Amino acid sequence: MRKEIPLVIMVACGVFMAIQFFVPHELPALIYQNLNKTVQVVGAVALVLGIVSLLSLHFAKINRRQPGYGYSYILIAFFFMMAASGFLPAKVNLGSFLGTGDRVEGSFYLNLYNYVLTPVQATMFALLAFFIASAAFRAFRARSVIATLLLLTAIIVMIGRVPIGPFVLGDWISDLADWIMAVPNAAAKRAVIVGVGLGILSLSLKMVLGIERAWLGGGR
Amino acid sequence: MKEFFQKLLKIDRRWIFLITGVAIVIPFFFFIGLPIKATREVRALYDAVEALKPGDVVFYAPEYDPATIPEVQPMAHAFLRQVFRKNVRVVATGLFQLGVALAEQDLTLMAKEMGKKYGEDYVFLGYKPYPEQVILNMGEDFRKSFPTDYYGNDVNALPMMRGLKNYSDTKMIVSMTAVSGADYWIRSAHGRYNIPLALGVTAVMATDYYTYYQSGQLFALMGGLKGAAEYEQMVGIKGKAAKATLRMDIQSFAHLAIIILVILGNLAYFATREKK
Amino acid sequence: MPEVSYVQVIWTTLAVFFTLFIFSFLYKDNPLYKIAEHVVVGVSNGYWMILLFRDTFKPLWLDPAWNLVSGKGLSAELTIFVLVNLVFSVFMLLRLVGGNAALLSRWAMAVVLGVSAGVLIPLSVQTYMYEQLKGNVLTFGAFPFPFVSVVSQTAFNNLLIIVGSLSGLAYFFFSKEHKGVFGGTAKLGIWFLMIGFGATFGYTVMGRLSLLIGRIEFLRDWLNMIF
Repeated sequence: MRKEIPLVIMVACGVFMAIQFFVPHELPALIYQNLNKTVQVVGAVALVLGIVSLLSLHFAKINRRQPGYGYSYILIAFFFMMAASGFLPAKVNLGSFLGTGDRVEGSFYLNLYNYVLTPVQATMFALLAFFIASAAFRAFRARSVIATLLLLTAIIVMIGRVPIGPFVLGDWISDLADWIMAVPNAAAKRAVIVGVGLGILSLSLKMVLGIERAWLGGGR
Repeated sequence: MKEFFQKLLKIDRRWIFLITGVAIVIPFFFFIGLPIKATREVRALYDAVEALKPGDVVFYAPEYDPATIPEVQPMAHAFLRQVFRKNVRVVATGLFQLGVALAEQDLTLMAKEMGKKYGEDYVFLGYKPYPEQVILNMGEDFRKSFPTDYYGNDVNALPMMRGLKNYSDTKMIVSMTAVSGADYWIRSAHGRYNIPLALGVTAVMATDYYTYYQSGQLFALMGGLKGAAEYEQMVGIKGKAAKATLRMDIQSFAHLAIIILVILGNLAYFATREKK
Repeated sequence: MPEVSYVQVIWTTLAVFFTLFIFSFLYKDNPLYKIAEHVVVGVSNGYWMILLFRDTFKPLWLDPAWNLVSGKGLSAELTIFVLVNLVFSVFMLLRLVGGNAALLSRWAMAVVLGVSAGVLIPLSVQTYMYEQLKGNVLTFGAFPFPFVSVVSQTAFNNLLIIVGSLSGLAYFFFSKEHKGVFGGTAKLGIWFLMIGFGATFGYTVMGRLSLLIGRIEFLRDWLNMIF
């Protein structure tokens, strides 16, 4: 019964949600909407569990004095600081530097978001520019016919879709880049997307029919 | 010559980082203002918004995080300026967790600039997890997932929400997105409820969505900084506010630098390759 | 230059430090980078916590539950909803307890997975197959002239899209050996796929560089602010 009951629940929910699509009636629609909401509420509990497990991992790291445990203090401190900032009532004022409560302009919450989260996350992604430049120099070779095709397309798109391309070479380069995007590129992506769609469909069917059981965990 | 290329291939990658950095910083000192050509897929959104009547409602779904501000925020600002200028009303959500505060700040800033009032001209519903389920439920009734808005107001108490039940009371859905949320909108909002949908996406995602534009699942598509700059030009944003347009100049020279790196790398590769 | 407050200057300077900490990774991995990395993991999870409690639990569950408990009255629909979700949320939380009780969390997981997978079945057929293949035929008849043009939708372009997408699919079909006519089709498919990937690479370069331009712009604005 350890696996049977969850499987029955899963199959019932899955089959109902799939069939509901074709049944325009009030009662199924009502159940459908509430099931969608249930996913949001119960699923949010699962997300909170994920965050709790991240924190307990770092608490454990500190307890065991594992290498680099000092960083875990920083992570935990900033976690609680940020989480607390979002629950502060509007009338709280932490001083002119930290800011006010709530989530309005000048709040501690938005200060943390705009001046801590934003620069770190944005710069992490900006680093990728350097790595892609390095990859362009090291790995992007015209080794074969198809590799050359890839390289030429990339160069045409890179030059044709920025203003300097048509400015120096004439409009043909941007027209060519536009055509590549709209025609051969769209065709290639259609092949990929139909494939991805088949993958999503087969995985969903396997879940709903109870064939895919990895989520139940191993053993017993 | 061969030795030079051999050395070049073994160069520490930090030199390449330095060259890239310099190639991007230098153009900051020279603004030329190269003309930006418009494309069909971007113009389609501009024209669709221009065709709206005052009082119409559009559904707006900004889903981008701080990492993609340079590309997506100019699109969001240009779009909001245009709809507010047309006196079109906006219902918005922020279904990507890291981008909710950005979505809220964009709306507040643009509304303030254009003299719009919260609850009458625009509403921000905020965040709920599991975007697919939220999008599907909003197709039935916005209140299902959002009994209250982001600020905790009862949605029924907002004047603008009166008579606004679901997507069918809006003219179009426009999402500015940097995440897979784009797919959810295509399959759950357009696919199930058949509402005209337009996307503004990052350049990394853009090429994948051309096939949806061709099939008509999207009526318009804006990709990356290029799409953003085109839109700014159409809306007529000038000077320092036209951030994407200003960045496009620098972008031009940065692309040249990358192309030079590719060519150098290939020259070195062919020059040093052992003959079979 | 608009007036900037001291508070804003201090916060922006803090942001500049974080930016430089991350950039320092380009030279090599170092403690400053690690500090910034842990800060962002902490902050973003704390931020998510707010969204889950304040924007999800409270309006969707806690408010109706409070109405039920305080006797304000609740519709039958919402009453059932509140109770069902209470049960399943508790089940989910039992995962923290471990042991046999944790098995109940699978019941809650089953609802989440079943609902999410179930809706995808009709939607994926509709979106990825029906609508996409419709795109292959629909426009074909609508724009017959001019036959060849790079700037507008033409019959030739549509023909290319049909050939490209079908041959690309042939390449992904591994159940049949790539030989003969089928092999030739698959080979044509690779050509289209390579053009597609080339376009993606070009656009990826564009995207990454845009983000870096944004960061450098931020540093420039900070310099303008303090000098």
